Amino acid sequence: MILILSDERDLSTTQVIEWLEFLNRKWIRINQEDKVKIEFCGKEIIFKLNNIVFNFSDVTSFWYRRGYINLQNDTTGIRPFDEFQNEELKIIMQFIYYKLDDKHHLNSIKNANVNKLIVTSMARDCNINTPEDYIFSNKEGLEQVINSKNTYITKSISGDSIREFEDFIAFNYTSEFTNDWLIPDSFSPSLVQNQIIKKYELRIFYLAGEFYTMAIFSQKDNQTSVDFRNYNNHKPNRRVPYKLPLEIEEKLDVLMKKMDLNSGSIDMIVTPENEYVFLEINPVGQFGMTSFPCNYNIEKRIADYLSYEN
Amino acid sequence: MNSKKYFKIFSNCIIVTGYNRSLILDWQRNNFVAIPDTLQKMISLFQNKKSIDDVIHFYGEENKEIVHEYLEFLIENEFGFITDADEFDLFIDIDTNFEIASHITNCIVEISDETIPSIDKIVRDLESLYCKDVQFVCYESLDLDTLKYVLKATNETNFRSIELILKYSKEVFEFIGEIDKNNFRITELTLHSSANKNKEVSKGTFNIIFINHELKDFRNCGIVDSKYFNNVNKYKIFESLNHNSCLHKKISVTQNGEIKNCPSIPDSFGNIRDTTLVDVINQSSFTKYWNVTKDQIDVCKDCEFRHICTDCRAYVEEPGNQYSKPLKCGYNPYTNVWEEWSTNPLKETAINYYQMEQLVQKNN
Repeated sequence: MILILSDERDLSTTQVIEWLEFLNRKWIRINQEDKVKIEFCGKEIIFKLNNIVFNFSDVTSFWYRRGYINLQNDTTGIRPFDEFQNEELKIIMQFIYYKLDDKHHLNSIKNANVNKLIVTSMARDCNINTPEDYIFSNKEGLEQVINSKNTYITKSISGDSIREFEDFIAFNYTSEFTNDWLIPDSFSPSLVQNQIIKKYELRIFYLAGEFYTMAIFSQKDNQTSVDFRNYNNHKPNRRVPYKLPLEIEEKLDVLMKKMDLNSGSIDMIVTPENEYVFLEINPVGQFGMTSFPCNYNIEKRIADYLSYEN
Repeated sequence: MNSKKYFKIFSNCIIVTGYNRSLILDWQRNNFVAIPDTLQKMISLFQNKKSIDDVIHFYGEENKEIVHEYLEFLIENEFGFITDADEFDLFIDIDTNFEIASHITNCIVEISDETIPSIDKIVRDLESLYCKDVQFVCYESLDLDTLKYVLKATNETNFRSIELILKYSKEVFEFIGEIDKNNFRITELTLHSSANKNKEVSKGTFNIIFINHELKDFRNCGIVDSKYFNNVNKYKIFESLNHNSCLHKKISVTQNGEIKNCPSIPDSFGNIRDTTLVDVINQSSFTKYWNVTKDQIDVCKDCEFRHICTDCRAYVEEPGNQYSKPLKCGYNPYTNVWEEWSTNPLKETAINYYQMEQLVQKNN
């Protein structure tokens, strides 16, 4: 039986499950919204959610798509007891996630959140081109490094890009850093990078050593030249299949293995000088937007991967 | 001009070559344009990795301006881009395989006294085949209880779309507002026999179409016309490149309960009373038309529209020839002219064969 951990809104999970159904595979999807009860019977662990009951030992493969197991446990109402119980359960959950990683699996909760700064540093260690990273928290330092010859961008370090305020929503998309910004003397630490001129962007889905690469032509349209998440629906950017040079694939493969990831979405830029510049990896990122335009049918590839019997 | 420059078509634009002209099918932008034969030939040189200079050399310096004009047209419309020799090969072709996680994608059920008792069974079967789109057709007036029963039987399903084609009646017309309360998956309602009837409806959650004439059977289907060329999407095109654009993964249950690929095709594979849809699709002859592509069909194989039209194998110009052109297509790819198919004297024999004389007169 294939166990999938996801959230209830994720359409890609549903599409992979459609393939599992078609291939006649047994599967169970746990969403982070599901309240899960776990019973321990010595060596066996029994999961109960909604109307589903299954044994941990029946899980043959595991897909960590995203989210977490939302464990429900009975509390005593006595704080010291409950705190102790929570500590105990936390360790048991760690063990369960560890045992899931021991099975045939795609991704792991331990790598769900990657640190952008660490990843970029690791990429450099793999001889992959990256933008220069600068972190500033005061105007003086910023002005010393930033020169008017180059252009710079700023983006969130955590990757978290949407924040709701009382009466508006702020989307922290990547934006170009310009001289007319009013900069206070000191501010919260912020990431600044030299802007990479792009001929086109690459969105690469990595699946167990295979690369599914898409080129996105977005330069033509000013609206999307900095961050293509500012979608242009009227005339969608051209998105076409692309074959990375072997040398780049090899380096990325080393990086993915170093990060202990067997799946993820990688963003790169190809410059007018044909340099490949690495931007980031998202282990739980969307792949439907790569799969569909390139007809890669990644959903089926994932279903096939999960169906593989050891 | 730099001799190292090349041109490449974006791989989500597919060139379909016809006898006199070709189409660029831009399925990413749901669009198509006709291009002259000369441009198609030039594109194929570029696609075979001839540099821009090579192409100019091929056509001769005196035609340099024309080559540039064509290139400008292609780049302006974002059908392709300028590239260099190394990069050219990195822009790989798109894999045009058609893969879908359904044994059956669409089904037509003719509602009648014969089929009503089997509706639940049909729906269960379709669910187990992962069917996406279902159409219920009823030629006679349908009473509200039966309509409610059909709506209820299909409400808790995974169908992506459910279309109803019903005969106009006062009862059904007045019930329109209640339909989505009984079944929120309904995507379209067509009422036939609605000449001189009240058609005032408020906008709801699904499309409503009125057809004046009466539908008596499925013989109205199979029309090929440019007004239906509005779906230039990936599924449509890729299915057409690999399979029959109408009959692939289709199943039908006719008025008398017979299970067929399409209601209009004579071959029956058993009655819903005695067999299941699952058993039927496992009979190898059931799928005999599924892989008949437009590239194999007489005349159509020379037509530039062949991958955006919907084929018909039920009504063809030469009944008995399984590769004959659809009867109800009035397009001639050798002259590029559309003509009314039903008055074409060359089609008279086939029209008589399918007993469509009355139908044809009524529509004209």
